[in-house]
Amino acid sequence: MAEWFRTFRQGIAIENPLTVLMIGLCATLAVSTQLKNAVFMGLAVVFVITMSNVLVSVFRKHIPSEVRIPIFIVVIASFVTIVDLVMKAFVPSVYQVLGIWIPLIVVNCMILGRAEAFAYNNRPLLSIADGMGMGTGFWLVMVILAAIRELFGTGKIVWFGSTLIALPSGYEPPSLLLLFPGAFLVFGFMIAGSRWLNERSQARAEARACRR
Amino acid sequence: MSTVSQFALLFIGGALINNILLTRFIGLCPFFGVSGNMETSMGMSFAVVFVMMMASTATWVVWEFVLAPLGVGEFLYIPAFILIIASLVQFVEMYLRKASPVLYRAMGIFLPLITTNCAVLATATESAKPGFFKLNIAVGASLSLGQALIYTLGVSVGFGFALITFAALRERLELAGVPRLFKGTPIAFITAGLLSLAYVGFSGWFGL
Amino acid sequence: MLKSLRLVIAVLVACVAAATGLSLTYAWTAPRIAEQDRLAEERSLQAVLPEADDFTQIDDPAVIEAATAAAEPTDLQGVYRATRGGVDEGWAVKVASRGYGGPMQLVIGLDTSGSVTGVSILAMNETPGLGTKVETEEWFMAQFMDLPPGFTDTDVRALDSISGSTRSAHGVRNGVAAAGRIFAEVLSVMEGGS
Repeated sequence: MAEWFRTFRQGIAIENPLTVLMIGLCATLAVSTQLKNAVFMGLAVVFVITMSNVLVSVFRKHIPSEVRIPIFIVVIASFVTIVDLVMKAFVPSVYQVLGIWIPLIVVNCMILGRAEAFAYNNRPLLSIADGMGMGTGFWLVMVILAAIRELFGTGKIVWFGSTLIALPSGYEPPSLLLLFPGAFLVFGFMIAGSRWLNERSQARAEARACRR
Repeated sequence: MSTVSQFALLFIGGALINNILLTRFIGLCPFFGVSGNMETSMGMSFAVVFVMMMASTATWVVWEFVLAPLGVGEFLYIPAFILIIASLVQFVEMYLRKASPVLYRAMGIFLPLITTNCAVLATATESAKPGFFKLNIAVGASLSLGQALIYTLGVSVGFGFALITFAALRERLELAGVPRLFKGTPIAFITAGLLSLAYVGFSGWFGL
Repeated sequence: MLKSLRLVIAVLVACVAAATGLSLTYAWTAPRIAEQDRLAEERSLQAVLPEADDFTQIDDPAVIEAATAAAEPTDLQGVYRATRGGVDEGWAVKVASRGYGGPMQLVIGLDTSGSVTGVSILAMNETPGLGTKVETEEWFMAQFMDLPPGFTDTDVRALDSISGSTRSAHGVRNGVAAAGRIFAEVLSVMEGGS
């Protein structure tokens, strides 16, 4: 059980796919204009990565290593199509905004990478932890980025028509944050921020170690 | 609209106005991954033009003659296209290694990387399955093979142009006094943001 | 030989399993997707012509051809005749017009005299919070209703735009202007025919 949680946490902090490994950027930057979109996009990614990890892990003994990559691709592409069709059928308003980003999950290097590096060599239960951890790590960063962009770009955060948080009415939102360049700028500052946090916690740990 | 001006619109629309890297956020992995070095950026751009043209041709043919007539395109296009592109890239790599060592040295190492590049999949899908991308250029119209190829050429040239510009900027950044926390990736993102701001200026050209 | 046969079988099994799974998912979701599309279209038609109780799509090729030509630079996607208890209520026009983030699908309702009864957006890809203001700023959509019957492009061009979402607003205005031209065109073709 402890091992399960360690694997899960690994994806969120230490090997975070976005801020540390820098993979899967495209979708993150593109859909992070609104919190709502980021939440659903993240859900789709968590679903696909967890399911593909489970399936690859369950059948890992039967997949010949010479043709493993095409088989992984077929597995991932199938789950992506399932998400695509289900979203289109049940949440059309969200699907309309996410549009091409759902099909493009298939080329998110993170998912293929986890199938290859983790699920192909580990038990199904651990692979679930890995998939969910990596997926959640991806999701968290995307949601934070979207929250920043929506809050400061429009002055409020809206969830299915109801306003969650609103800044004082005197605030003039800079629309730059919502446009394409804004995504790059905010994300650049976010990486610098996460570096600062990492360094600070490291320095504290060192200081504690010295005192002992 | 005359054919020539439509081709010109498709090319410019793909290359500048809807630049796939800086205004659509597609294909960013190589954009940040290889742009640290001018030479690799050149190799990558060249490989992308090459692979995109082939991928679009292949997916267009498969959509037109297999998926669409069978009526299975709606739910099989994602696995079908990605498999086509992946195997195509694999064959090209094997062929190049044997047939043209010079070309292989120039772009061989980039070929496997391109397989999982969303820019290739997105452009190939747009060429074959109209309306996928929601572009202004092809309002409601499907593309003929010639149009699809011109459009793909535009997109890939735009990709290369943006990548090489960005690599040049990053080489200058190496020499600049950047605050410690911002060194490397963060400043690269901020630079990309400014470059993307410049591309926003293209929007609206020719009513696109 | 046996080895490579095993490889081929593994890939084939994966592909067949995937195709089967996907066709089952498609069979399950397809009716719902079609239903959702139909509902969205019905809602948008109803929104622009609330009085009407029946919409028939015009499929006369001569009318469609004339209307498509009149729709330039937008792309005509459908002309509907709206009736209420068999009496003409007006027309609804569906066009795709160029916005900022791609084509916007608009439905424009016109009464029998040719003035705008409503504009609704069926699908768009505009920047949330910026381009989407065309939908959220009520005065923008409302001003089209004040256009006179038989309005022209110049009338539409004189209307206000939204600062910060000029291109999206332009897309909507182009759509409405096209609807005005289509209205004139459809009437003249239909009268000429009968």
